[in-house]
Amino acid sequence: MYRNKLQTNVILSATIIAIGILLLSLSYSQSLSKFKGAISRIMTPLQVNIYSLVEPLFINQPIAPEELVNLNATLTAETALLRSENIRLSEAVYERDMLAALLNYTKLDNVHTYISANVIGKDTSSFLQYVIIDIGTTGGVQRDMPVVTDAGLVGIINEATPRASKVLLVNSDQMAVNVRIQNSRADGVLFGQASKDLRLRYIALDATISAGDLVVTSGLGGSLPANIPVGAIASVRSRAYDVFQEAEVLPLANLDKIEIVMIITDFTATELNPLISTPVPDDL
Amino acid sequence: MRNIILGLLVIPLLAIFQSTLLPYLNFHGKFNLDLVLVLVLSWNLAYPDSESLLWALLGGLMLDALSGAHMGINIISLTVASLIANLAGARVWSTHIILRISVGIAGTTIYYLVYFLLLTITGWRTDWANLPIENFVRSIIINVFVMILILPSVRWLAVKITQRTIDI
Repeated sequence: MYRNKLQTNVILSATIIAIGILLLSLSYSQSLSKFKGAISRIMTPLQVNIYSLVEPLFINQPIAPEELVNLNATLTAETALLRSENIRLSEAVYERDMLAALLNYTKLDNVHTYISANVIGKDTSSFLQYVIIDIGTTGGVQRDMPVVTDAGLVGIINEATPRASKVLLVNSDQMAVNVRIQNSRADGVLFGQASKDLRLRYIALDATISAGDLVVTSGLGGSLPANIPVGAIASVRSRAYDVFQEAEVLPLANLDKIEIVMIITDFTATELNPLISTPVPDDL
Repeated sequence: MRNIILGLLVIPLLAIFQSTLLPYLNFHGKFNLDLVLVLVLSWNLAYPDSESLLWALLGGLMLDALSGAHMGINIISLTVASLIANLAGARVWSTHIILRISVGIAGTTIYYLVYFLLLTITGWRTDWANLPIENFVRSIIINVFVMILILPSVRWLAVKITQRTIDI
């Protein structure tokens, strides 16, 4: 009796695993987008409703009045500071435009078109850094679009279904971003880690970098627009016998508590493959 | 059949909770509870029927739909883990606390191992030398702790839905 049951259970498990392998291979060849879209159509409204129920209880708890007064004072001071900086920058932009026109220079303009989205969930695995947002292809979102907050880069769209999208966060170990250190103009590549930290690699040994330096996207590789703030250098590791310097970077956006994001919709990633020359066969 | 209907009602809700609420209740990222895994393991331990293995299929499908990894990874990992619980649950001493803890530890560990192995096979850059072992251990602890807490309720529910009336 027990042996029969055991046999049945093992056979059933093997069947389920076979179904899993079939789905895995179909997903690997990108043939499951409609199936995933159908599940997403069912799950997204449930997710939105549950998120709106739990949000006031656990995620966004009300702030105490004293804290609000302090926050108000800080923000007022910050607004005054930003207003004066805005005036100064407007002057700089005017001067830059004038010089660009004189040089007939096509400038890289950092003004983008955005659509905002709410974060409605995170990856069900605590080891993968994804968030789920409530806008999909019907809202104009496409794969590889950059995602930012007011603080800086958050990640890129990794998957888009009609009503929801998944954002691969910048601190994921699947991410590598070409960046530039603003002060020293040194280029490097920012890698996410399994520990959710950010590590900046391939910085030239002669570059002078220090803690607190701002790291922005460089635009190299064409997968992200240039000059999006990403983080600030926390510590530098530079040894004479190394080929490159390395640095730990703290992201500017709080990636653990993202609630609203903006998707840059007018940026198209450049396809570099046609530019990479292929070797010519000898007999030609 | 009641077993499957119950799974269809409970598992999608828990998967959504795991995606929406639990990331904010993880004690600053230190203790990540895998709610669906815990429930599927507990259910298979409390009710080691063939139908209970379908909970792994359903749970895996839901987790995969809400995850950035390829579809099928959670289905396979959960099925392997729940088969262990299912086999252990069929033993007469399945209610013993040591067995429960062992199943919790073994199930969670095997789930993570299979999960990471499949991630690597499907092309994810997995740094095996620097796997976040501390995170694994903490997750195993919280999963086993919650499993022991919910097992009596799960067992009670299993008895309720499997009760059959006998006409005398």
